[in-house]
Amino acid sequence: MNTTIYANTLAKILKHKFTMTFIILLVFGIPLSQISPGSSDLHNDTAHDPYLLILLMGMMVTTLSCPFPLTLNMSRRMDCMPLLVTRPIPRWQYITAKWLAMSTVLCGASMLQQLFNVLIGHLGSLEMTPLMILCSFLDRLMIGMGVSAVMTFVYMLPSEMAVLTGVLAMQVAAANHLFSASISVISFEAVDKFRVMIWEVFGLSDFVNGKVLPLLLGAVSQEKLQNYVQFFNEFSQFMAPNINTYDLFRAEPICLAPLLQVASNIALCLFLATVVLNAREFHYDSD
Amino acid sequence: MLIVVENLIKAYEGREALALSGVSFQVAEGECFGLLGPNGAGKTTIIGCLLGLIHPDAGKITIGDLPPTDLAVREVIGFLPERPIFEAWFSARQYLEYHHALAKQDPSTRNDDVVATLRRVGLVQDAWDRPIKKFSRGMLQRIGLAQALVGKPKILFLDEPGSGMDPPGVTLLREILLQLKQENVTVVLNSHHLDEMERVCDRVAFINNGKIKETRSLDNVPDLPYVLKIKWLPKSDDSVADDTEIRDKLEKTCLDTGVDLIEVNLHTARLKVKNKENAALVIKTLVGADLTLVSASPESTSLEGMFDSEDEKAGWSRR
Repeated sequence: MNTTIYANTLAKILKHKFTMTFIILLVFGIPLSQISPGSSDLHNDTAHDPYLLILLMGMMVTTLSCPFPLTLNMSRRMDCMPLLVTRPIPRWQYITAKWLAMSTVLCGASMLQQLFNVLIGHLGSLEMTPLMILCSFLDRLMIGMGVSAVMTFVYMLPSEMAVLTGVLAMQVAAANHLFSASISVISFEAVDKFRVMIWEVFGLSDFVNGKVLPLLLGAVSQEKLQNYVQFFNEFSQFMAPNINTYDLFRAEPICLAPLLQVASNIALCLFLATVVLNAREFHYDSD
Repeated sequence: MLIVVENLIKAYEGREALALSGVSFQVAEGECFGLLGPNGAGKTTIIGCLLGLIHPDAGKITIGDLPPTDLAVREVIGFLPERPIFEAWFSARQYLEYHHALAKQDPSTRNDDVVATLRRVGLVQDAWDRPIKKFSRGMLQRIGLAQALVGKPKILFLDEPGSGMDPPGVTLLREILLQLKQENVTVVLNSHHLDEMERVCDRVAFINNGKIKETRSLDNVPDLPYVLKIKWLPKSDDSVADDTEIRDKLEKTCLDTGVDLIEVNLHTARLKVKNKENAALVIKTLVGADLTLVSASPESTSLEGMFDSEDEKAGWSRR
């Protein structure tokens, strides 16, 4: 890992006024707003904030220029990178340093929020044991590292259009993830029930699947659409797997395989990011 | 040879013409090699390939017998892109410290090296701790040059280094390039400043349509025609009579010496001379004809003459 790149990226992110405002709101504003009268019970019944993932992503998306030499209102981003990639730094070190810097900010912000929750005694209506509280920090750590790894890969894509598409896909996946993330703490079974409930309550499932889609697309296309939805579900799981570390530690025997899944997902993302960076070209037409 | 480029071919997606079409050249250690050609000729693509930023479709590049992407090569190179974009929140000093660290230089000498480089590129001390976002274009160009130099490179790739610099900046750049030559630093220079190229380059390659048309040594530049600009002092207050008399003298002298009179303005004229000897003769004749010359300076260089002749051969359009 290249400490120069890491320190520079971290300093740049933390110097950004918008990022700091976001972190302050995330750490202090959201917990305080949730203990106010009239706040949603759904929030209070969870060990971690259901909106955390999307908030963390939102923070990084809005501060694109910090971790990577990219600003979307600038027509060219390639002129900053050549100076860095012609330095004697292995590309994997560059990628790892960027990922670690982003992880530090995301994990730091989300864990500080939980620390603030603990300090003000706001842990929802569930009775949380010390181990559950400790595990909630680990959950946040893994979510932060997973999101950072996927974003590192997306930011390395070779054109602005590819980056924007990647960011949009991530946001959709995160939104998809939002529901399951909010319920997963209760039980995995409830996730499916909750999804089924939404479809049934709104009466969308039968109508859309049975009437609209066959009419518009035909049966084969309907299957394709279902495959896309499935892909998004899997992608959102890949990005930030729903792992309740408390359950893992309490299981007999202790099950650590899901943690390895997180590690392998992160490694795969960073590997792909390195491959993309190596394959990329930097010239006037490259953006 | 330190840099060997063999039969480089590169095509960009969506373009019919090849960006590089069999480019081959060699650069010796300590040599200053210039790339010369019109816009879109392929000069920046060549530099991109030499730096490993662009992957050629065919051909081979070695720098000290290693591929350009080798870390050992990156340890000895410095690069100034044509349009560098800086991380604007840094101060000039912080920016150079950052690149000093990235270039794997000794941390114990960081402060001294950075200060020496800032002095070398002539950035006023007042601006050293100012955020880069407040810099003018010329200052940015200087800081760009400084980041290329701060890693003490053995090979330097400069893409339009004088672009946006004020005249003192261009003069300073020339001095730095001459110093680098004395320090045996190999320089690959892509510039439109023909005067700058002529003064610092050992050889230039004329490029057009992705091909090297010719590589010439500048040790023995042919004595080609160029434009001479002369300036004189008026003789009397009667400017109309004065002008007519001087114009007559100029026309006669030009006729006698075989020089083309391009234009005559108030107290100045532009003459196209055949060569240096022809220029010396016309100046001597004008002084002999009682014209009080203040200055006589070449408006175009010999390299521009070479450029013109290449231009004519290749049918380039002048900018």
